[in-house]
Amino acid sequence: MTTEEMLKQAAKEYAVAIDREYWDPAAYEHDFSPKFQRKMKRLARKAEHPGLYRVGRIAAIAALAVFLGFGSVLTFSAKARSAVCDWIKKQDDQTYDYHFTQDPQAEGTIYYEFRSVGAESADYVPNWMPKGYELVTVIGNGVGMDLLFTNVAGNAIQFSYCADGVADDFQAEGTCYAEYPVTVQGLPGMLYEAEVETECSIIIWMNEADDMCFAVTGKLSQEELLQIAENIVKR
Amino acid sequence: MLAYVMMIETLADQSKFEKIYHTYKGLMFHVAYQILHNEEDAEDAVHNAFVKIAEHISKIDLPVCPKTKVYVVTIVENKAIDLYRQNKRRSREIPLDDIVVPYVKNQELQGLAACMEHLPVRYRQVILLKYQQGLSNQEIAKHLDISEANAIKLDQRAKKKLLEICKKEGIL
Repeated sequence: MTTEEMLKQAAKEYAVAIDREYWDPAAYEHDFSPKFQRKMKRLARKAEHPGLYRVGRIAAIAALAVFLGFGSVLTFSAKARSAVCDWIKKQDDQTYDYHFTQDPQAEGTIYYEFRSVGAESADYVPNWMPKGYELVTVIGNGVGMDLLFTNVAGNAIQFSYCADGVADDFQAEGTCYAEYPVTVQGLPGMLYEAEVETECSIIIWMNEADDMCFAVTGKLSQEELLQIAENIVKR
Repeated sequence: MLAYVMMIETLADQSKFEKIYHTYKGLMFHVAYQILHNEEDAEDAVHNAFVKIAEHISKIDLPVCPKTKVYVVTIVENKAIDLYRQNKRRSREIPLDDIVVPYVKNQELQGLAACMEHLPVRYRQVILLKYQQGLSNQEIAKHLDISEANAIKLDQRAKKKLLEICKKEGIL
């Protein structure tokens, strides 16, 4: 008997043993928790409505891209920073819609529309920020939250997280970023370090078990981005 | 800028996935629990296994058959061991190649099957995936979340180790 034949035979004999060991799968009953069932429902939705789910994923990923881009704009555009201070608040029942306008006087010029949900609603928050940065706003983005921090110099850092399987697999492409695989809190991620001063660096990581995607963006060093990311805590 | 991977594309694959889920979820929990001894962790391992199964659902011919049963057991065991090492922060303390978990407890195994039982779990998974499921090294790498080079290395080590055990047991 050659080694190859022996391996096939070994695998075959062992597979038979496993089949016998677990001859009746129905005998292994378990009441799965609501958390597991929710996660499996999401997976099942992917199976039942692949087209719909695809659209949802594209929307979610596009939202993430928009927010990352939004962070870049805020960090480097004085106009944008100024405009953020001029959110037009409109109360609608018990929620608030915020309209971000470039010119506070031009109320009809709407560039972004978010729903403010309050800092206490954020499930994930950074426990560490570079000195001088303070939380200025928390915005619900439909699939997660965006937390914006600024300092007196007008620089901004954005922490975003998205739920519901936003990115099982993603990649960022760009000519002005150096890419580094990183590990954040034991989870896989990528750090995109801006190679030009006009761009923000971004760190993105995923928790596949919880179907969560996280990002921190700002004009920061690799060490600072990693330190913020490592200090994100679930409340 | 961003790309994604859809997991289940066709109606036939969706139906297969559902059958696998309903048939094997309890068994998969049992296998994961034997390793993790924690219900929440075992459920996480089962979920992670189903995500992996969904990614490769098109490769499964029959949802309910001995071959698929062995496949789902192998995948969930792999996910449970990954989680065990993550949770216990033992990834550096316990080399994956040293973890031995017996599958078969209610039978007296003989011959090659007995030798397989004594293999470190990672090696056994590679042998089952390659020689029983008929996967390539590239496919094994995707299933085990390792590089193809690592899969090739594992395959070589698994063969060597099995030969050693067989000689020790007097099979060869």
